[in-house]
Amino acid sequence: MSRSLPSNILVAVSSVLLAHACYSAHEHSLLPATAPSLDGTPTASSSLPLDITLETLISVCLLLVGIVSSGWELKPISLRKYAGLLESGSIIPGGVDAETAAGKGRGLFDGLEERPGFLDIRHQRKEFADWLKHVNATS
Amino acid sequence: MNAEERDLQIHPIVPENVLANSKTIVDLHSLSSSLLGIAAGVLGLESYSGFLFYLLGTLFVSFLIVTFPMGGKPNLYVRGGWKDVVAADVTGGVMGYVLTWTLFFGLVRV
Repeated sequence: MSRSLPSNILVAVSSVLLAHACYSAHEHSLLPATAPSLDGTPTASSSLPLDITLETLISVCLLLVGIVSSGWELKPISLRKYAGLLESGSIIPGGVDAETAAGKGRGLFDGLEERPGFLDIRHQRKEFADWLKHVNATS
Repeated sequence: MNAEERDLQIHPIVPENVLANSKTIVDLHSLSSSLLGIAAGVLGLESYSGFLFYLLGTLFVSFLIVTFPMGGKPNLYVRGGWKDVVAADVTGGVMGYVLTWTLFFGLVRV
């Protein structure tokens, strides 16, 4: 996950806004629940003022946008597309170093490309026979 | 062999990528539901309006997920399309939401 600069700034600014809205709401809740209005009758002021409500909503929306747009990587699930991206080198699978995977054409079947060749069983049998002869001669 | 199996044989999928994608989506949903809980606590929502707020917020987050990381093509990354993005880990999201909702309601208003 590589974060881009604009979304970082967005997350920072909207976090500050959200903290400010939270503090404002707290301060507002400390006011007396009934405040005398101009004509002397007590009016309920328990509901949040419009500016704090708007600030909260806007800051949360911006924060969500900033978080979601900050470079989350999803991989295509269809094998066709995924294998194509692997071969072209735009996705490097986990567990493989970026340096060793620098070359292109490292697809899903990379292990098959690097398997050892066929064993020359006749040559090995001849070697074994020679060794056996040698051991028998020395003993 | 029914139609779905045949479709899987013709268009095979990568199970590791399905798991990784759904984990990323669940992470995003739980993170954002905590933030929505903060907002609901600050706004002082109670009972049904709080859950309605969560519903709207989750839909908004799903819309953002489909828009930004998926580039508007959810079928490329999730098997069920956008419905799976919306319905990813609803119970866990609600729990995180209620946790921060009650916490911030208490912090701000008590």
